[in-house]
Formats: sequence, C-alpha cells, structure tokens
Amino acid sequence: MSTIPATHDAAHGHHDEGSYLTPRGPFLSTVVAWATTIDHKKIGVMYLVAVLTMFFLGGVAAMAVRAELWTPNRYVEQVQPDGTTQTVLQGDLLGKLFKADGLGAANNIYNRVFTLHGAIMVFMVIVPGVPASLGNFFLPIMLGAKDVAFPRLNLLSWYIYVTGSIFAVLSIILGGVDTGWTFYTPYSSTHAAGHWNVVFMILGAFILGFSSILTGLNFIVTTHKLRCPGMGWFDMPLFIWAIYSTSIIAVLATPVIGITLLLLIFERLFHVGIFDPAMGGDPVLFQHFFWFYSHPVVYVMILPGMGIISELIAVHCRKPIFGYRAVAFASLGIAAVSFIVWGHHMFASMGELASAVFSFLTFLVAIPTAVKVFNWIATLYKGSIAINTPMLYAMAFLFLFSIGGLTGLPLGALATDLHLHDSYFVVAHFHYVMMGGTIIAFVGGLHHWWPKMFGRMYNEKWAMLGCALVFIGFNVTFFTQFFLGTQGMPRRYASYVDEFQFLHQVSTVGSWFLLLGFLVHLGTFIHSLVAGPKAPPNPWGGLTLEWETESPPIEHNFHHEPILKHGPYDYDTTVPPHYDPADYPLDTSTPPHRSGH
Amino acid sequence: MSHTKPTHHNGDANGYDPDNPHGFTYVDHGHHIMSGRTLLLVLLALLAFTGLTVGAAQVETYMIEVMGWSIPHWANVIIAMSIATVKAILVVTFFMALKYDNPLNTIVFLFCLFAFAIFLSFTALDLGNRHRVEAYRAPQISAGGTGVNLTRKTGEVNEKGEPIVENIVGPIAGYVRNVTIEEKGADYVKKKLAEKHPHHEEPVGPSRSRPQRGLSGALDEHAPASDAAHGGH
Amino acid sequence: MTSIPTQHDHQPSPGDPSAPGWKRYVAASHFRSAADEFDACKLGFWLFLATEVLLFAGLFCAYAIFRMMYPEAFAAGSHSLDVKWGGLNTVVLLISSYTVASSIRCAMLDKRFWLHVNLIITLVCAAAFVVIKFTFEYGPKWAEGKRPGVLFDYPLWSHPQEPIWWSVYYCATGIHALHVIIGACLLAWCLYRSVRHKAYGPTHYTMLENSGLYWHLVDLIWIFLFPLLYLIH
Repeated sequence: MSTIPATHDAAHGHHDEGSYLTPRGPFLSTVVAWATTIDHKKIGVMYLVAVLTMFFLGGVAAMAVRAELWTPNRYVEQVQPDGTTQTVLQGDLLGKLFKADGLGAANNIYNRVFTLHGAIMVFMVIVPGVPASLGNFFLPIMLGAKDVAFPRLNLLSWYIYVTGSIFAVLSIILGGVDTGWTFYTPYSSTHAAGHWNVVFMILGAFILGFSSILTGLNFIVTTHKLRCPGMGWFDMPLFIWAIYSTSIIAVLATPVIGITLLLLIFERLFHVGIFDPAMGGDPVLFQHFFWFYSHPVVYVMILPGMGIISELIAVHCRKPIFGYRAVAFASLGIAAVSFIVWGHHMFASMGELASAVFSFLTFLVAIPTAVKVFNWIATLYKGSIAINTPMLYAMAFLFLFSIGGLTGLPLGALATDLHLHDSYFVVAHFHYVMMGGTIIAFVGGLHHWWPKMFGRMYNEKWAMLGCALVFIGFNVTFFTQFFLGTQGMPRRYASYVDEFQFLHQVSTVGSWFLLLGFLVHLGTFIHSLVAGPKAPPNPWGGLTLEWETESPPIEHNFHHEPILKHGPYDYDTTVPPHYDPADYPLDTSTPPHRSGH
Repeated sequence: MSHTKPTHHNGDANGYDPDNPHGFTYVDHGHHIMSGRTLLLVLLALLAFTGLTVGAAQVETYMIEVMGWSIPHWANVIIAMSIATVKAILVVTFFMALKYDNPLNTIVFLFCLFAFAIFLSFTALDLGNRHRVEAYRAPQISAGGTGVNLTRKTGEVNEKGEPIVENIVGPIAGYVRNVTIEEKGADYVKKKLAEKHPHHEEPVGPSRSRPQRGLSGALDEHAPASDAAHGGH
Repeated sequence: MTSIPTQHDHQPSPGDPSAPGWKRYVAASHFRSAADEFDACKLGFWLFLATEVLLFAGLFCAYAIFRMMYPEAFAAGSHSLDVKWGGLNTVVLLISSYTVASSIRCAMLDKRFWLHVNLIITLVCAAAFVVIKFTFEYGPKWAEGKRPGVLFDYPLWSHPQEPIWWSVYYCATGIHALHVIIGACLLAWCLYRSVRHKAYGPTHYTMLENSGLYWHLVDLIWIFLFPLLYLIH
C-alpha cells in the first residue's frame, strides 16, 4: 500500500462494498461473473459445490456397495415348482440392476462400484475437499489479505479440478474401472478391462494432481507474503498452519503421482513395461511410486481437518488453545514424517529389511498426532464448552479419530499387519481416519463457518439431529468392520461366508443412518439458505480475523486492511469483535437462542 | 535501493512498522544485476566441465576395454555425477541467481532435493535389498519378463489392406531375435552380432560383469536354459 | 549501479500510452508493492520448479532402480547412444541458458535490442535441440527397432533387458523434450510481448525472469540426464 498510493485504491474500487454474494446484474451475467471470478471466496464456494457434487456421487456408490453386501453373491440350488432343481444366482443386487450375466460379471460390477467410490472419494472429495473449499474461502480472510497470492491461478485450479472430474465421470460412463483406486500394476496396465475407461480414470487423477499442486503453491505463497500487518508466524490461526503444512505436502508429493500416472498411461497405451513383470519391469516399483505420493496425501486429507478442529475447539470452548506452538509444529512434524512412512502400505510386497525400517518409522507419526489430540483435550478442560453442532462435530472427531489412529498402530506393526493386510480391519481403520476424521471435521467446519460464508444461520436443533445420526450411523457402519476384519473378511469382495452376514447387515443398516444424517444436514442447509435468520458478523464470538468482517464478507474482505492486535485465541484477554453475548450464552447446555438480527 | 517511505501511518501503539509488517529485516531480493563477465565465465566453466565429463568417460572406457585396467564400477558413476553436480550448482547459483535471491527460494529448492533423496533412497532400500533377510524374496522378476502375451501390428498390410497383426510369444527381446533367426537364419544373426562386438569375449571391465543382485536372479548362471530371452547369446 | 531503478522505484504510469509496457505495469492490488509481487511470483515459481524436479525424480528413480537390477542392459543401451549428439545437445542447452540469463540482465539494464537478440538465440538453440533429438537420435534409433517396451524390434540386442532401457530412455528424454518445447513457447511469448508491448524493463520483468528460471531447470535436468544416459556404461 505504501509505495503505490493513489492509483492503487482507484484500481481497487472501494466504491461499492456489497457482499460477495450480491448479484451484479441479470442472471446470465451473474453466472458469467461467477465463472470468470478471481475472488477467492467465490472460487471457494464453487469448489464447495463441486466437491459436494462428487461427494454425492461417491456416496451413492458407497450406498450401493453396502447394499450389495447385504447378502453374499453365490449360486444356490433351488427347487422349482415343477420339482426339478435349478442353480440360480443369489445376492447379486448390483448384478441384477445392471443385468450382469453370471457370478463373474456380477462380481465385476461390484469391483467397478467400489473403485468408483474409492477413486472419487479420495481424488475428488477428501484430498481437495477442505483446503480447496474452506481453505480457499478462509485462508486469505484469516490472514487479513484481500485475496490469495495468485487469484487467476486459483480460478485455473478450479477449472482443472472440474476437467479432471469430467474425465473421471467420462470413464464411468464408458463402463467404469475395476482396478481399485490404487491402480496397482500389472492389473491396471495390462489386464483391466476397458481400454479408454482405465486411461480416462488415470488421466482424470493426473489432471486433478495439477489442481492440488497449484492450490498448494498458491496457499504457501499467500501465507508467506500476504499476512496482514502485525501478524507474525505465531499469530496465525492453527487452521492456517494446517493448510500451510498440507500445501507443502501437496507440492512435494503430487508431482510424483503425476509421473507415476503418466508412466501408467504410457504403460497402458504403449506397453513400455516399466511396471509390468511380463516385460521385465517391476510392479513393486509402481507401488513405491504410488505410495510415495499416496501416503503423504493421507496427511493432505487429515491435516486440514485437524486445523478445523483446532479452530472449533478453541472458539466453542472460549479458551486459548493449549500449547499453540506444539499444535502448530505438530502440523509441520506430521508433514515431515509423512514422507518417510509410505512403505507400511506395502508390507506384503516389500522385502523384510525395508519393511522393518518402515514399520519403525511409521510409529513416529503417532507422536505429533498424539500431541495434537492431547492438546485439544487439554483445551476442553475447564473451558466454557458450548453444546452446538460445530462443537459436537469436534467431539465426534476426537472420538472417531482416536479410534482411527489407535487402530493404525496394529497396522503399522509388521507382525500384525501381515494378518490384517487387505482385510476389513484396514477398511474400518482408514474410514475412521478419513471419514471419521476429515469428513466429520469438514462438516463441523462447514457448520462453524456457514453463517460467515452465506450470512444465514441454520436451525441448530436439526443440525444437531443430523450430527447425531451421522455419528451413530458411522459407528454402526464401520465399527462392525473391525470385527469382520479380525475374523478374516478380506476387503474388495462381493461375496463372503455365511458367518459374516450378520455383521455385514449391521454395517449396511448403519450406512442408512449415515445417509439419513447427511440428508438432514442437506435439508438444514437448504432451509438456512432459503429461510434462515440473518447471521451476525460474529455469532460464536471468535477472535480470528474472519469474524471481524461482515457475514457474508464484503467483496474485498475488509473495509480497511486489518492490523492484528491480538493472538487468534486470546480469549482470556480480548473481547471478541462485533459480538453480542445474546448470541452465545456461555453458561448453557441448550442451543443458543437466536432472534432475527 | 530507496524504499519509498509511506505517506500515511496506520497509527499503532505496539510499535508496528508498516514498512516492515512482519518484523523481518527486509532484504532487497532478486534485483541483483549479474555482471556480463560473471555470466560468461560461468558458461565457459560449464562448457569445460562438459568436456571434462565426456573425456573422463572415454578415458575410463579406454582403460577398461583396451588396457584392461580394473576400475571399480562405481568410479565412473561417482565422477560423472560429481561433475554434473558441480555444473548444476553453477547453473542454480548464477544463472538462476539463487546466490542473490531470497533465501526462501533456496530453501524451497533444497527441500525438493531432500524429498527426492528420500524417495530414491527408500525405494532403493527395498528394491536393492530384497534378498537380505530371506533369499526367496529376491528372484521374483525374470530378466526380459515372462512374456506379454500381446499382439502388435507389424506395420505391413495384407492384400485386403488390413494391418497384419502378430502374436508375441515369450519375452519381447527373445521373440524379436527368434523371428529374425527364422527369417534370415541363425548364422546371419551370429555374423551381425560379431560385427557389433568385434572382440566379443566376455567384457573384462568390472562394470560389465559384476554379479547380479536384487531382483534379477534369473539373469545369473542358474537361470533356466530354456528361457527364450537367452537364446543366441 | 544506483542509477538503475528496481521494483522499489516502480512508479507506474498506466494512463500514458507513450510509455513502454514495463512502465505502465500496475501491480495487483492485493500486494503491498511491485517488489512484493515480484518476490511472491518468484517464490511461487520456485515452488513450481520444485514440483518439476520431483516429476523428473520419478524418472531418475526408475532409471536408478532398473540400472541396479539390470546393469548390463543399461551398459549395452548406453553404448548404443551417440555421445556426439548428446554432447552437442548439452552444449546447445548450456549456451541457451547463458543467453536467457543475459536477456534478463539486458531487461534489467533496459537494453531492449540485446534482450531480443539473446532471446532469439535461445529460441534457435531450443529448435536445434529438438531437431537434433528427433532427427539424429530418435529417428534412426526408432527405425532400427530400438524402441520402448513391446514396440522393441531390434534383434541384435546384447542383453534381453534392453527394451526396459529403451523405455526409460524414451520416457525420460521424451518428457524432457516436452519441457524444452514448453520452455521455448514461454520464451517465445516473452519475446512477442517484449517486441510488441516493450513489456520488460528494469522495474518489471517477472514473466521473463520466471520463463528464464523454467529454461534453466530444463537445462539442469539435462545436465543430469546426459551423463546418466550417455556416459555411464
């Protein structure tokens, strides 16, 4: 500001400071304005819509997977009315739906559906989900900046994301992919059916990688260069620390999946043989390539979730976060350790020496992760805990993520992993971490920031009901899978022995509750947009900078460039700005009463 | 390098300096104008090192193949990679001007090299040491592969104008040679191979005859003689 | 030196059509100054370069692992490459790196004529690199049947694993050549902008600087690819 005074503000335009959501002109030009916007808030909302769309698609696949597993697929002898016996296929729900011919074909459809679920949920929902939507929206605001460092690049990232998703959807339309989201060679490179669907799915993931890289790069530069005056590194909200660590991982790990998928496409199209044992290549090399990216990316998925939880707990407990620096450095620590543990995905395919080394290193991850969990719990202690939806989600996160994290230990230990490898125990573990961690935090964060993003409050009672349904449904669905796994149910099978049927059915019933919970949330959000009461600028009494601007924020985020005068969690010394205690009674366990503002 | 002083002060009680918002000692980065002489000298050094590395490789080849000296197989890797590293440092320092730039950029670059090192070393830790604990883990992949069971177009067309497709049987290298032997006879291939390697004894240099390790167990003398890939060698 | 302005002295005159493009440039409004924007763009670009290095890391890693597994195939494959062309391409790239660095220097000194001359030499070198690569290296090799993977059709191999060598060779140099072409396009765009709009001068040359960094990275990768592929037998 200081060096280019006059022209600067003129170009910038402080004349019309409506909210960023205010339509500018008729419908069509508003649509064009959104499609060409370089405003990080609009891009964040566009990401949110795109990610939720893909979440819906992946969710449908998940429900289909659970429905298929209600009964095992198998042939049974059936006595016909005329007295003869006939062999008929039973339990192939998806097979019948898609008119598959025979058991093999029916199982094949199941393979495609779970691959669809995995690939969409990983590449298109969980990896970009939090950073690209909530991160895009709030990172600049929390830093007190007008925008991300490279706004046009930001828009480009969104278009790249959409292009990648279109390729993935195209692959589904062409018949889907049955490789699993890991694309292991040589199955994916040589044997998997459908030439172009496999190539398109891989190409989609490859393109999505660019989106991650560009978003990560943008966030790193923004964090370095655009912090508002007065904001040093340790005045940043912990959400920013988490997004920053995430971005480092995304920038350093994603290019490796880029070259991996590129080589896989070459392999598929030209049979170059680098990953194909039939040509003297090495499939385990592919696994190393793949997991060098895909393990760090597990932390790309969870770190932003952890960042959200740090915000939720501090704000809704009204307490300075316990051990701010420890939590901040734990984010960086997790990012660093994430690069040296990928081998634990490959204990069954590696040599013993490397397995032992990786097993040892894997346990290092537990340290910074536990630091975070303990600090959150210490923050809760003697805090003025408000019982509302974001806080309930934060509690759910602590509960579910702890289970997910602790069940990771037997998987990191070499001896137990070889037995649990590729069983439902693994499925349950990573759903507890990815869904119980990231998605739960995402939905919690969405409730926390919803009033800020859209300027409307939601109905707290219905939101809490949705949260309860999601929590119960989630545990019913996935806790049973720990038992299935330890009893020997392998993952990725459409069929199973009779002994597993009860637990599978319990799990499927759980998935219905989960669905119901998300539908309640969807209804609550739509109701909020249509008829919700107007949100005050700071409904929760937060101290980070996004609560200093209006709800929804004005086009340029702040009327004046903010100057940071207090830390993000100084609840003991600072009165939150624009805060009406009537919004947020501290001493009640019932949802706060909201009168229309 | 005069930094224009701000015309207004955002009144601040905490000693905040708008000219230096993050409390860093501000260093003026990236506007260093390199002298033409330095650039030219760097170019000359790079060219000289290129000559050196080519020369070194030829000297090594000469010593191994003609004079029969025994040079450890890693020596030429070390020499060539050291020279390449020196060249890379020259390019990064002067052409890319990291020396005069924001140190943060250097840190970014070093971090990425660090990630590369982790990637390479841990992958090699596994794939180079699979036989260390349990020998049976080692020979999982046979040299030349097991054969792709694929078809490929020969590039020629039949009388109907359709491309002629051939079935590849066995590992690709062996298949290609067998096809040639069938077409032109074994003597032709032998003669051609002899022309290609005028003194076709087993190469003396250690870099060409060191024992196989790791996954390539099938390459050593215990490999099955029937392996088509080994025919004609 | 003090007479040469830098970004800190940037006083944009956007309304003055007679001023050259670099004087008319206005920094984006969310940055504090043009210098800050320049620094941010460079940091962003270095992060991008880090991703490029790690992209090639995969290829280097594949090279290292297969070389470890099949040293003889890699020695044989390396022998069938011509050091002459590889060396010439190295020299070409080094010279072009020098001219790019010089062109940035000329931009900083406001010598537009020499800026253009340097960029044109760079583009000529880029074209030379690609022509040498395709006509003297890929072309004859491909015609002989020295091709990657299942396309391999060279009966006179010395080692059954040579198809993998050629896969690594074509993937690594092919992706590198793609980067050469992208880099040349960036620099051609810079040349166009400079000729048409006088876009780069002492206080604004961000795009030129970053395209230059990209070009140096392409050079950097080749500095390692050259000895690995051509020299280490």
